[in-house]
Amino acid sequence: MSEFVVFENVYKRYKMGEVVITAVDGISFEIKQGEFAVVVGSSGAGKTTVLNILGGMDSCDQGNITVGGKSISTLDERGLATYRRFDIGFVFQFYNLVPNLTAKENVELASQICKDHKDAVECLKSVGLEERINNFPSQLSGGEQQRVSIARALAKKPKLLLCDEPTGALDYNTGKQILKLLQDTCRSEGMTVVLITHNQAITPMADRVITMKSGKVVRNVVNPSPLDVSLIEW
Amino acid sequence: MTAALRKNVLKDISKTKARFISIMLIVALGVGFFTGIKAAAPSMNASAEQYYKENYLMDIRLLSTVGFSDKDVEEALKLEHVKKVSPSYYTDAVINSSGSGSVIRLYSNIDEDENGIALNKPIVHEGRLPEKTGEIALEITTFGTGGGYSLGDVITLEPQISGEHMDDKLESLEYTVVGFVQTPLYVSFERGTTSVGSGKIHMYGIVCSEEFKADRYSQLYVLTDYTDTHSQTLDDDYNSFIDSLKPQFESLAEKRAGLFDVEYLNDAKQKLADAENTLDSERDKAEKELADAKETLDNAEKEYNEKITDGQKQLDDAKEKIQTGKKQIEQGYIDLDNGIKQGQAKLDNAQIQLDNAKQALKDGKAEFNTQIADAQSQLDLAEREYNKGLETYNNGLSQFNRETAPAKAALALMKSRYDSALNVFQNITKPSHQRVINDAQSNIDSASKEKAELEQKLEQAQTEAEKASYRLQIALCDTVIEGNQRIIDREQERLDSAESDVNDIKKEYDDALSQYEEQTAEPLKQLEEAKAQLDSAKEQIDSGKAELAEQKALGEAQLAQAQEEINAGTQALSDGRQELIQKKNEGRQKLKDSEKQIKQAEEDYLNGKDEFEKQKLEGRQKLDDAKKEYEEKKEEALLKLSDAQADIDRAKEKLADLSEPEWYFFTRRDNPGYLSLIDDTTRVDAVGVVFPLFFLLVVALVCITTLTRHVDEKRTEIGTLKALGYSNASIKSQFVFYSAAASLVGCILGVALGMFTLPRVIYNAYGIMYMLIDLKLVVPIANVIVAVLTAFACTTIVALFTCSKALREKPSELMRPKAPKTAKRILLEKIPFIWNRMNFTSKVTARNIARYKARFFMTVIGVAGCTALILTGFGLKNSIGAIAEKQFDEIFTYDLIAVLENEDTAHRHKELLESIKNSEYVDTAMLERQTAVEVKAENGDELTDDVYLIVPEDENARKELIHIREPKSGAPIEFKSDGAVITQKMADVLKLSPGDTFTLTDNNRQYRVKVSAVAENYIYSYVVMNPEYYESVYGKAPLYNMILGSMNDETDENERKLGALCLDKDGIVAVSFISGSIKSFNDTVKSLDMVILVLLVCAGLLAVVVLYNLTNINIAERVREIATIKVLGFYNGETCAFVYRENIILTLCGIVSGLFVGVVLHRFVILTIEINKTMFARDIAPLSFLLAAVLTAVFAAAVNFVMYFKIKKIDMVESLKSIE
Repeated sequence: MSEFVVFENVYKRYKMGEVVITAVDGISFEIKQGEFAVVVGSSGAGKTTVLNILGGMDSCDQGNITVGGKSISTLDERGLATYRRFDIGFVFQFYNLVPNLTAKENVELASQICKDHKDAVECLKSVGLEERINNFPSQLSGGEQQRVSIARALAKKPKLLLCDEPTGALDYNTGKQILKLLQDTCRSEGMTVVLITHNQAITPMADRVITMKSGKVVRNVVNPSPLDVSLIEW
Repeated sequence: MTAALRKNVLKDISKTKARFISIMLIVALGVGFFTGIKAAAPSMNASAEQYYKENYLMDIRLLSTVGFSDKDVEEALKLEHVKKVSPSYYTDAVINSSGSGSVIRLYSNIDEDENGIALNKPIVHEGRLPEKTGEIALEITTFGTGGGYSLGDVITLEPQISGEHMDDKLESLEYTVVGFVQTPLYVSFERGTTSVGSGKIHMYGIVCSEEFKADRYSQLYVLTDYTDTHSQTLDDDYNSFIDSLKPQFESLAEKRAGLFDVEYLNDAKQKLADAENTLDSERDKAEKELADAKETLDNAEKEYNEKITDGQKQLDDAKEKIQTGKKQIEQGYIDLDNGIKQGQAKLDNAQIQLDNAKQALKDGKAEFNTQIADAQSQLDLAEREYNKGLETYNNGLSQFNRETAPAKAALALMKSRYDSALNVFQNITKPSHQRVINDAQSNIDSASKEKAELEQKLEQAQTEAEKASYRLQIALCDTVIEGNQRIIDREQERLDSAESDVNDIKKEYDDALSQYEEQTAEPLKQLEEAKAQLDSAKEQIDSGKAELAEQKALGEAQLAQAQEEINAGTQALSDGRQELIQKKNEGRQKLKDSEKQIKQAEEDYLNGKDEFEKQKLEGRQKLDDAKKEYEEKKEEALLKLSDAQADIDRAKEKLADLSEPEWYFFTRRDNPGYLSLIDDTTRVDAVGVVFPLFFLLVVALVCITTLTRHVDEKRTEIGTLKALGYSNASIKSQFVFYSAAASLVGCILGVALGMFTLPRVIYNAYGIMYMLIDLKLVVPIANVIVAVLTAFACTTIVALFTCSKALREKPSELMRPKAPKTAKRILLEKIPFIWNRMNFTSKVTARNIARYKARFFMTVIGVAGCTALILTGFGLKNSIGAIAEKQFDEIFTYDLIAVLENEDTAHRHKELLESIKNSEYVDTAMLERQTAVEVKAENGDELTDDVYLIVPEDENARKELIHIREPKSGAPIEFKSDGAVITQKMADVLKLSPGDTFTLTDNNRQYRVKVSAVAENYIYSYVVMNPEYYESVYGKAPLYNMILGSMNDETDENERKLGALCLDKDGIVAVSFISGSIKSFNDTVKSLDMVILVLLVCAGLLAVVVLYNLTNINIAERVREIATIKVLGFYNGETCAFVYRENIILTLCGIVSGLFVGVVLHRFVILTIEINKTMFARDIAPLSFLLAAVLTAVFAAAVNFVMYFKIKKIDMVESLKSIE
């Protein structure tokens, strides 16, 4: 399998008044197509910044990033929007569903802007929510909302699924279910998934574990035998 | 509030600047609009009050059929409450400027009394008031470009109008404009009606009271003491007070009428008789004057003949003189030539003499020089011989000296030996001896003397001893003497021997000397003789020389003198020549001058001759003219006399006609425009209720939404503060402070801006229709308080309320985000047919709108308000602008109005009509009677201004010139002979409908008139009757006073030509054209643009503030949502559309409802501002609807455009942030 995501010597600095904070300090790593990668690190390690840059929500100051052979570090604002639109699916910690739309409509919100997209109902079925299709977010539990969020991300048929602490706001069991859903999606559809978390315990389920500390990648390990989610405990 | 809280709230303000400012602005807008409009009416009233008071507008105006006398004034002043009575004059005249024929009302100037009070005191804008007859101050509206008059212009009055001679009434018929004024009598541009000219007064002017010839005052102005105790005169109290004074004036009128016979009539009759007598005497006088004139004429004829003869003689004399002169000149030429010849001969003679003298001088000089040369050569010879002799003498002398030199030297040696010997003897030898001698002698002398004394003593000595001693002593003395005598002798001897030695030497020298002299005597004598001879020769030579020099000088002097004489002769000769030439020229010049003079004289003579001929003819002409003039004057005088006779006859008739005198009582309400100003002011106030309330409503809504949101955003903070233990009151105070600060600043800003702009703008807009003074701003305190309190209530109370609501929750709940309103299925979803066809943004929008109803209504109301205001503005312009077009293009389609002289007979009218009809410029024409009337309904409603009765003569022509039609359908109304057609406005005001009757007052007579139909009309009100109905109402056939006509091609050029054509005809006193009315009306409409602009600006501000505020809140609440959809890959445009959809839909709803509201508002405004004289069109043009909609959309778009940047700036990372 080829290298799907490549970071080459990427820097990101923020200016806080007089002080320059280097959030990402010259990191380089690669993720292969279809891998389930986990970026792990304590808070402030720069993993969210990496995710933002990878997701086209932010840009790096230096270095090259290629996703699927396409350089994204050189894209302008509109190019980034297009990149997000067609290549990226995003799952947030706090789901970020539009409260005025039903579950189905929230999924359609994403799918309607992509030419090549999955059917919204199918997507929701695939995340096990066929019963809740017409419910508003406020009528759904946290796990259900996160499933809608995942369904929304998947409906776009993204090349890369980015998840920012998807279990952060969920209880243990629900979190496990979500992780399972993500792992299954990765396996069954061959989708590359990048998940960031501060929870070390999740790492055994990943194909690749990238450990970050103070804006640097301290370890990039390929796990030859990833465990099934159900076998993990924390 | 603690310091921390205070700091917090200040930070809050600076952090939410946009929100704070938008609350401030909306408050300012609402409060400003409300107070500004509310201030307009009181300010206008106050300005009018001040104007009336400062210029002493009269309270009552009295007119009488017979005028007033001083006695009347006196009596009126005695009445209760009467403070001052000013008698004055006025008369109406027609200005004689080709074409205009404007009617001017001339008022006498009222001088200020000792208290500085002059009733109806005019304000002088330019120049000054008239000070002497022939001066006039015109009303200011006629000044400059608008009216066409300027200072120094001269206006001439038509000498005769309606059969009356103006010079019977006025001293002057020509007036110089000295000033431009404004009087409080006229507050509008309505000048009232009159019986002369076109029946409408166009302007007024003020002239000196001396200008009026009337013997009785035309009117009395009365000032009451009401204003001494009351400040308001525009209210009903004043009206009832003035009305209460009426009875006492009526009884005075009665009393005075009874005395009219005694005080005036008899007097007048007497005056008339006097006038008749005067006329007789005048007639005699005139006849005598004519006879005198005849005589003067004859004398003049005689004088003329004499003068002609005289003149001829003078001419002949002159001719003769010229001929004599010519002869004299010829002689002069001959004499001059002779004289010159003689002079030339004399000069030639003198020249010859001078030449001779020159030759003689030359000869004499030559001889003189020869003589001098001879004498000189002789002298030279003598001198040479003398010198030779002198040489010989000198040689001889030197030889002699050489030969005698040794002897001379020996002599000198001997001499020196003798001299030294002598010297030794005398200086050394002799003195030394002498001294010894002298010493010895002196010793002898002293011894002798002592001896003598001793001898004496001896003789006297008694004793012998003594004698012996003496003798001894004497002996001693003798010894001494003897010794010394010997010394002397020796010495003398030595001296003598020395002397003889010297003498020997002397003798030797003397011998040698005499020997030398003997030897040299002969040669010396020879030398001396030679010397003497030489000296005498020398003397002769010198004297010869001297003589020669003398001779030479003498001769030269003589020669020089001769030369000088010759020179003088030459000079004299050339002078003589010069003089001769000069004399010749002078003579010639003199002759030439004389020739010129003669020529001049000849010319003069010819001119004189022409002049003489001319004068001769002129004199003749003058004489003939004088004769003719005499004849004319004679005729004129006779005519005048007969005119005077006619005047007297007329006066007699008039006097006989003078019925019972009657007084008329008028109040300020009868002044043109006075009432409509009050009405208008009331209307402004009425408009001032609707608009501002509307604004305040929007203010309240905006504030509620904004502040609710503000409190919501501060939930966590409230919770934290509460958890920290702050009291509810102190937490609330924060929000109260925030909102109070915003509304306070807003109020101050709003009141200041509103008060300073709106009253002025409205006042200026009304200035189109009224002539007032500068605005006096009155602050409507009550309204300001209401507005400010409302603003405070809307802000602070809302803040308090929402804050209190939040405070009821527990701190822990507060610190969690407010549970969002649960999304609900909306009604629309029940209709899947529509719902399923909507895309997501539409669905979100629909649900959002349903979710936030308050916001929905607010936006719709705000936008609708904006649209409605704009629509009203444009609609006003449509309504008011349209009326000129409708009135003058559709209803009145005539172009020309020719005013006829009243007294002309029907026959003349027909004739004039025909001549106008036949003009090449006119299509159709007809006769018409038009008079200003007053109408009154059964129920007491009345219209006193601007109502006209029109009676068209020819029904067929009427159909082409005046279109009488149904208001709505526009169907033509057929005339009936049993009723009059009245116009809409009059029907509205008097509440009349077909079949009703009303009272019509024409020329103080009242008639009952039945309404047959109501017709469409906009400007003024009309009662239209056909001649038949007129006759049945008035009891007599109508007397036509106008000709209306339509033109085939109404260019300015044609109008001018037609106007001149009409005025040329006798019987037409004035001509005007409709085009002028249209123009002036359109000018009025143009100034409405200001009002529309104010509405537009307010509307725009309203829309912008409301939309900005709401969009801002909307975005703030949905920032996370927006960030999320951006992450999903929505482009900026799509994101905005997602947000704006809601705005756009709300705006569209607002626009649509605004158009409906606008129609209602427009109608309300039109009805309120409509004045009695006009009816505005009720329609709004489709374009105005479009413009209102488009402009509102533009304002909304502008807000959205600004918001685009705000949305673009939203950071996607927001979506990742945990909810705080």
